Amino acid sequence: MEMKEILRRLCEAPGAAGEESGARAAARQLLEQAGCCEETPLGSLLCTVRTGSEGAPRIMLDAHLDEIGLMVSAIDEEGFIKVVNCGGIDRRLLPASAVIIHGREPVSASVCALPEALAEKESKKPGKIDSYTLDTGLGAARVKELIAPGDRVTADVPFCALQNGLFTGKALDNRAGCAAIIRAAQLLSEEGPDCTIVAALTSMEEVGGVGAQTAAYQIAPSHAFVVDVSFGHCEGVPRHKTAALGSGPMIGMAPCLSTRMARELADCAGKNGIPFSFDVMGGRTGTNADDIASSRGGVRTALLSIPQRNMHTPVEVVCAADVEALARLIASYIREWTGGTTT
Amino acid sequence: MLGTLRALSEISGVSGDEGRVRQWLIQQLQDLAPCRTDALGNLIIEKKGQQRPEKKLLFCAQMDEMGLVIRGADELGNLRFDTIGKIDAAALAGKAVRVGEAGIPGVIGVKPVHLLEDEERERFPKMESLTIDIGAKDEAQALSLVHPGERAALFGSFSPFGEGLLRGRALDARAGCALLCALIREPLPFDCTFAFTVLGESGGAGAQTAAYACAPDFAIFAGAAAAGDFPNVPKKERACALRKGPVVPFSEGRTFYPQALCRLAGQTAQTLGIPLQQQEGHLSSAVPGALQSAGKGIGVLPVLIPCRYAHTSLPVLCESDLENARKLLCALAKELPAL
Repeated sequence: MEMKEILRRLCEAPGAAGEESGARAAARQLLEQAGCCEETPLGSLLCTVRTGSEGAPRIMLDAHLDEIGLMVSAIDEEGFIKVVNCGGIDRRLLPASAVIIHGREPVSASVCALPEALAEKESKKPGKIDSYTLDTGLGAARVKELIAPGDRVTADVPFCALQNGLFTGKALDNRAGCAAIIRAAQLLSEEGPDCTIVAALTSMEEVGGVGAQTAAYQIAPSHAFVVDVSFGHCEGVPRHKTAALGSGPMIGMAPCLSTRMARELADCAGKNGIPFSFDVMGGRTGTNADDIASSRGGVRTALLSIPQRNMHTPVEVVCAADVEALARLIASYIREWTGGTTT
Repeated sequence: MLGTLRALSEISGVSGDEGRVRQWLIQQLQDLAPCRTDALGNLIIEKKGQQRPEKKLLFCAQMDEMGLVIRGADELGNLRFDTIGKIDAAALAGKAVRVGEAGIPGVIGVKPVHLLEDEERERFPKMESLTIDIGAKDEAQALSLVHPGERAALFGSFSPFGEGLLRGRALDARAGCALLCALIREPLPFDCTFAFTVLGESGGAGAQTAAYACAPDFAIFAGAAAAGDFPNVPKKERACALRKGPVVPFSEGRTFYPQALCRLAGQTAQTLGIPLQQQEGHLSSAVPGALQSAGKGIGVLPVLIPCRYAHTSLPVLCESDLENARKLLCALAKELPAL
């Protein structure tokens, strides 16, 4: 399947943190070709891609499945809806945005925006999340039939192709990462060394990472590859902290990450003609790598990132070629790593 | 009317680039009455009625919508733009657009929330920091795809919304066009002139010149009024509401409407048994003022559809308000020329 189609299917599925069932179903359909799938109690999707002999390396391929969103907190007497955030949304982008409330059935809604004449008078500040209201256009009775506190809300924007193989949509953080893991799993299920490989699309990264923490406990890996998005070139951000879209995966270097794996990944990329850059972070990585590296007795962990523009907005942008290249890098590295391959 | 609204919502036509809207209207209406395009691009339609009126009546609606005009590109390949019409930066940030004749998809991106300074997090992005990302790799590629001066319009889909409502891009700008189309499709008691005008979001020059050329005794402007019937708006600022009928304001900023016309609208609505919202206006259109001051001066009556979230990518209006406005306009087409 073309990468564009994988990305489209994954992005269009809803999966705000803690309620990833839509995204999980879409991912499962794609992953089942690579191996047997199961779900963890906290909603992560695990797929056993290869089963190695005893003592062989146990490899976890992780990408978080959840997306940022909102959660219904209250419904007023006119049927307008109050929300709280579900992950680190950018409140500045909420006014006049289209969303879907995942109630008993999906309900279209708009985030209320002041008429511009009034907006001029009001202070030009985004306000706390309490100051935002959702409008479904439905009466209070119908709203209460369909929607309840706790229902998740996701951005309602179409997935769309831009120039140069770039794509825009909601939830590309981190469905682009999921797509890379799915592709890597497909490649490794066809051909790989004697090792156990479990692909894990994990829940609740945007609200703390408990999905990956518990998935890592269950898988008990010796090595992990974590895939997430990182910052693409952006005005107002120093160029050395970002990578150009289309310049290949970013290989993470951070205290908790395995330096040896990072260097070997770079060598492997060079050998296979895969473009890459380094993404160097002091302190924590802010990804699932932090929790996975410290799972059980410790896991040698590599972090690979897809350069992304407009992270945590409804108009995230990634380059499909970067996703493909990242998948190829993981598959090539794992195949070459043990010095030989068995099918 | 739903089909007409859908089509008018889906066409983009930022001020000065109304050609596609005009083309669609001509296609729809040319079999019903002769269509003429004037020097600025206004579409003028003279529709014969059962008789010639003593007082000449002009119906006017604007074809154009607010939007963006491309100025150039930067070294990252992002398009730089100016705004046309009143738009908040908050209504643009994080939204999808379509650029130029070819409708190239783009998005208005922002610096990721993770990288913002505390101070940046607590204010809306500044307009000058916003750019359009079409995925171009550098300035040269961006400018090979889009020429400076081309327009960009906010992107959105049209759909029924909630109970009895409609949501779609540019509905605030073009609800009036749909009403005029409905009127042209009906048999009229008197000859009337219809002007679908350009440049409504940039000063109203289209309406002004159309009114000058037509020199009517009265003009009715069909458009939208900003409804404030949702929780963020303080009660005293709420102005009009959806589902409560068309809006006929007494005044709008420095434009005061003849009381005789406002009264006639009130009486006509009462006779028809349709709700009407008569109040001080909260409209931001330059068109009624431009009509009023054309030539030796023209009595103007605005008939407006209440609209939530005007001047964003997601305006919302109510089908019953549209239907009631249509009935009111039909009745006024009979009453006004006899005034």
